[in-house]
Amino acid sequence: MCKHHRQHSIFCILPPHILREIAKNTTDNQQRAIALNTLALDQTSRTSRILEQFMAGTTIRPMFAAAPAAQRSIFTASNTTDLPGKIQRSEGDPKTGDVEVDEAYDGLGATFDFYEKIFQRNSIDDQGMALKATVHFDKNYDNAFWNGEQMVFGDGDGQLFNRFTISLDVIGHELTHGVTDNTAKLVYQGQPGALNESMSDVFGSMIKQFSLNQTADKADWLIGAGLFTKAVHGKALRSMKSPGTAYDDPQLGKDPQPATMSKFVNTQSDNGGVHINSGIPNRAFCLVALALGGHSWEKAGQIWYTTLRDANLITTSNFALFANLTAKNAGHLYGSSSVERKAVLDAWKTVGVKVKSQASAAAG
Amino acid sequence: MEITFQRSGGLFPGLDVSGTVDLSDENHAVLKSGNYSRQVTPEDARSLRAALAGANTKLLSGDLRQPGKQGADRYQYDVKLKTGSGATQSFTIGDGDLAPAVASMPGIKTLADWIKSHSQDILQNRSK
Repeated sequence: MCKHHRQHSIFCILPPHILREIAKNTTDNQQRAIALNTLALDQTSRTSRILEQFMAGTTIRPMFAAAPAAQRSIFTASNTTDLPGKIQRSEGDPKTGDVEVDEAYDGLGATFDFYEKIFQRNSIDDQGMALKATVHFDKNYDNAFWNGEQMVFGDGDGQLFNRFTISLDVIGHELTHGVTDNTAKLVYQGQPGALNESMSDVFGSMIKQFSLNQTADKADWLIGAGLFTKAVHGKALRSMKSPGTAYDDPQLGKDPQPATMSKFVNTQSDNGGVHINSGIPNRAFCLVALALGGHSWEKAGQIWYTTLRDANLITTSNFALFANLTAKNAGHLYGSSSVERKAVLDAWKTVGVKVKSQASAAAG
Repeated sequence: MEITFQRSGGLFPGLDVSGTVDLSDENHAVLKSGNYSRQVTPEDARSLRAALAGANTKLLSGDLRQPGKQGADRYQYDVKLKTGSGATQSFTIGDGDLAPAVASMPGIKTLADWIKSHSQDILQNRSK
C-alpha cells in the first residue's frame, strides 16, 4: 500500500501500537482506514518487503501525486453476445440517455469511489485498472457476470427481471469479483466459491449503504432489490440478514439460502452451491456490522477487507479458515479483548462456524 | 442418441433449466423440458448429430471448463450423452473457455453453443 498511496507514507514508519491508537481515537474516517490498512499489512510477510522498499526510498509515491481516478468505459452488446461491443460512454462523457449505460457508468463510479475512499484501493487491481462494462448483453438476458476482464449486464426479460444495472449492489458485486481475483483468488467452487460470492455480496451491500450514507441498522441488507418485476413474490435475490427469505414465488420457487451451517446445501449444481451457501458468511458479516453499530464499512468492513488481503487466506479456504482469519484480524486491528473481536466470534458462533479458541485465534 | 442438459448458476441461482433432446430420428427430434416441448428442425438435428459424430466422445467426461477462465456468476451446464448403444458420457461445460484438451475438438463448439442457446430459449418460453 505504501508504494501506491501518498496518504500512507507516514503510517508506514509508525509502530503498530501507535497505529492502533490512531485507529481507535481519530474522528477522521479516512485516517482511521489508512491506519487500519497499514496495521493489517504489518501482520503479513509483505511488511518486510514494503519496509525494505521504504528504506531504499524508491517506491514511495510523491506527496503531490494525483489522486487515483476512475477510468470507465461502457459498451453495448446491442442484444448480441459479442464482447465488449460498441463503446457508448467513456470517462468524463456526459449522460447518454440510455438508462443501462448511464446506470453502469454511475454504478462503477460509486464502486470505485467506495474502494478508494474507504480502503485506499485504486480500482480492481489496486493499480488503477480501467473499468469496463457491457450492457444490453444478449436478448432478455436474466443475468450479470464478471468474465475475468470486465462486467456484463443483461436487460432482464421484463417479465420476471428488470435490467441488471438497476441495483447498485449488483454492480458492486460484479466489480468485487475482480477485486477477489486480484487478492485472495478464491477458487469458484464449493466453500471457497461461496466465500468468493459472499465477498461480492458483502462489498456490494456496503457500496449501496455508503452511497445512501446508511448505518448498519438502517440498511436493508438485500442483494438485488429492484431486480424483480412486480410479477414476482419477492424482495430481492438474497437477504444477508435473513438468508432464505428473499423470495417465495410460484415460478422461481423459494429462496434456498441457508442461514446456518446445519442447513449447508451439498450440491454439484451452481459450482457446488456458491450462490446458495454464501448465505452463511453473508449473515456472519451482517451480524458483526449490526452488533458494532454505525456504518458497516467502519469496522466490520475493515476486518473483512483485511482478511480478503490476508496472505493466510489461501485460494481453497473454507468457511472455518476464513472465520478464524476474521477473528485474528479483528484482534490485530482492535485488540484481542475488543468488542469488535467478540462481535466476530459471536457472529460465527451464531451461524455455526467453529472458530479456534480465543488465544490461538488471536495468535493466528 | 440423446442429449440431456441442466443449466445452473448465474447471479441468481433460481433459474435452473433442464432439457432433453432425442436425436434418433432427425426428422422428428423433440426438445423437452418439463411441460414445455418443441420440435427441433431437421437441420438443427443433423447439425447436432454431425457435431457428435465428429467429436471424440470418449474425451467428453468430467469437468471440461478451463480453470481460471470462467469468471464469476456465469452458467454451468451439466451434460449427459446417451449413444445408440446405450453408453453414457457425462461432462460439465461453462460460459467461459473449454479445457485445452477438448477446446479444439471438432463438434464441441457446435454442441456447446446449441446447449447454451437452447437453455436460454427454454427459459424464455417456459416463463411465458
